[in-house]
Amino acid sequence: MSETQRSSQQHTNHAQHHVPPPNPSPQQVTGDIIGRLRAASGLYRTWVLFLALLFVGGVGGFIWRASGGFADRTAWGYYAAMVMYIFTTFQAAPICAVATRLVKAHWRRPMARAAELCAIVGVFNFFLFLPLLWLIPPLKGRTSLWFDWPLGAPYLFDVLAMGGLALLGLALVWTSALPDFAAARDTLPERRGLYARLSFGWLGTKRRWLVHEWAVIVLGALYLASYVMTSTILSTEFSMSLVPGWRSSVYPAYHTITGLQNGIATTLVILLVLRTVGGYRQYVGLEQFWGLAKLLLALSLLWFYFWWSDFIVHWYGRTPREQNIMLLLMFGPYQIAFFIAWLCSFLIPFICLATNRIRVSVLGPPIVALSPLIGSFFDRIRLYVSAFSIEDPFHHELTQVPPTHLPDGADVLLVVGGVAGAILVYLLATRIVPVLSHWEMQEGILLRAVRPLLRMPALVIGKPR
Amino acid sequence: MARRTIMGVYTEANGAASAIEGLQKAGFAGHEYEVLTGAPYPEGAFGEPHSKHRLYFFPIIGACCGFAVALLLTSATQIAYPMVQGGKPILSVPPMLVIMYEGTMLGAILFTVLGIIFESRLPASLPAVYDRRISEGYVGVVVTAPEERLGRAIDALKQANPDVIHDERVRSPR
Repeated sequence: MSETQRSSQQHTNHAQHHVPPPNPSPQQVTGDIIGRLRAASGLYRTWVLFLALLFVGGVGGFIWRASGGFADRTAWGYYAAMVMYIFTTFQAAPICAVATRLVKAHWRRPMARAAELCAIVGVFNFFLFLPLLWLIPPLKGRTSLWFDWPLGAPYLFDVLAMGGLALLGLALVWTSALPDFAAARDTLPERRGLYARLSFGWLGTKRRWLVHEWAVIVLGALYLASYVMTSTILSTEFSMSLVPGWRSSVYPAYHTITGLQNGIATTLVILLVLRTVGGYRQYVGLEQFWGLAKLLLALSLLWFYFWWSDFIVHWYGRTPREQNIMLLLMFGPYQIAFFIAWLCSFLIPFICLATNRIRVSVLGPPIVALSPLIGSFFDRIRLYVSAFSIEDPFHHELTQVPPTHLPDGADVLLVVGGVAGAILVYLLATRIVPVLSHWEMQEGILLRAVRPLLRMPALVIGKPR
Repeated sequence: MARRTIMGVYTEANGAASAIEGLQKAGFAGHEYEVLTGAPYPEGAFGEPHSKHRLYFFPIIGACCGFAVALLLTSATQIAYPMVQGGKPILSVPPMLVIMYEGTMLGAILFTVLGIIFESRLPASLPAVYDRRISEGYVGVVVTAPEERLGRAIDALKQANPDVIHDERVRSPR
């Protein structure tokens, strides 16, 4: 084979590699997305049953733990870590949809709903969060976000922050899904009553589409702003303010960044499930995995940057207070959890996603995304279990580092049951809300076309504005 | 003057655009016809006049109200329960900022949801003429006009080769 032929062959292979799939017809999109709400598969039912059993086990673990009362904060450390893990995975995932909508990224369409549907889990996590309020020590005599606030703090404002985010998530999902509910009302006669109520009689007039477009963007921007605020409040409340002498202005930002990283990782894993067993192979493709992989790579680098910015101040200062803080959080009783977090949240995703063959693939990014999800789980353990193991948060500084608090049976049940419950809520939500956004996919068909560009096909995207 | 509603249903968006063009030539004003679609077509794609809404006012007003309530709440709380610590001022600004941010967000969220419902005119009942196939990619052109002008509207709709024309008087299955 001559050099020219080889070059031409490579070019053709490269072009074929990136050939976008042909546009399905609008009727096919409706059948594939809305039609799937008709009946659940056997696999779906099996998973729902399995997760429900795990969740029941979690309820048992909660009763077991609660029977010991709320006086011993150390015993609730893993529960707090689990709540914050769900907060930084599921509740952060809608930001993927919000951010890509704000910048009008067209590749978002098949993944936007899958990501924003995670906001439903926020309602579940709100109820998991409530028992933590009993574990907050009095404000008087310790450093906190509230400076001895006389009335309502921290309970009222924590509930408002977490409850507000959960309600906002519901509003975002409902608003975004309004046209899809209307489509389900029109195409599923057996479930017309339910979708007629959910759609509020919505019809696709020009004015309503215009309002809808604005509404989804405004609610999305508010979700992003509220998530940052809630992450700041909760991370300060349930870890930093419980450890005497731990003062860091970077930590809340680090916590939020890890949330964004995990939100992307969660979305990638959901997309893989939708593609492989959900029957959406035609809709979820390389474009989505590649796009999210780039964001995950950037956020993995940011993970390191924020961690380093926090770490270097303590390391450089090296007073006994700072040494004890570093010992507690990184190099002492929770050093294994810290090193797993460091490896899985930064090093593994960074090395893997910097490799073109992994980043530009369908399977690579979601498999790599499991790494930050594991890393974040251990990160929450080292941050929250360690903070909850401090017996006396009223000291001026940490003088004695408590030993490692290992999980017992109740902790295992609580953590497994809590995470299973979150996945279960998501799965149940997909029976009512289409997991792919019908209106966004239809809009995508209007604006996308594959056209020849010299000797190769190229995707052309219409940008009317 | 009695008004009646008819709707032409088109399999292709281009047909609906031609129908709108025909209606405009026949002297129908923008408020007399409406395009119904199952997907958000870009504004002006059918040659229809631009729509207006005021949704952007709602989050701004909500945010201002939330901020004001939070400012009142935080100031009043501290003045009602004065705690002097280390000679610092009674009003402690940093925690006030956190609560005011929360209040601003909550106000904006509540008003935005109200704004969506109000600006979309929801809840609403289905119109007198409707075709459920619009959710599957068909495009509807709805005309509401006095009875004596409807003949011209039907002609304009027919010239664009509709799949069907629904008439308010002749109830067809929706």
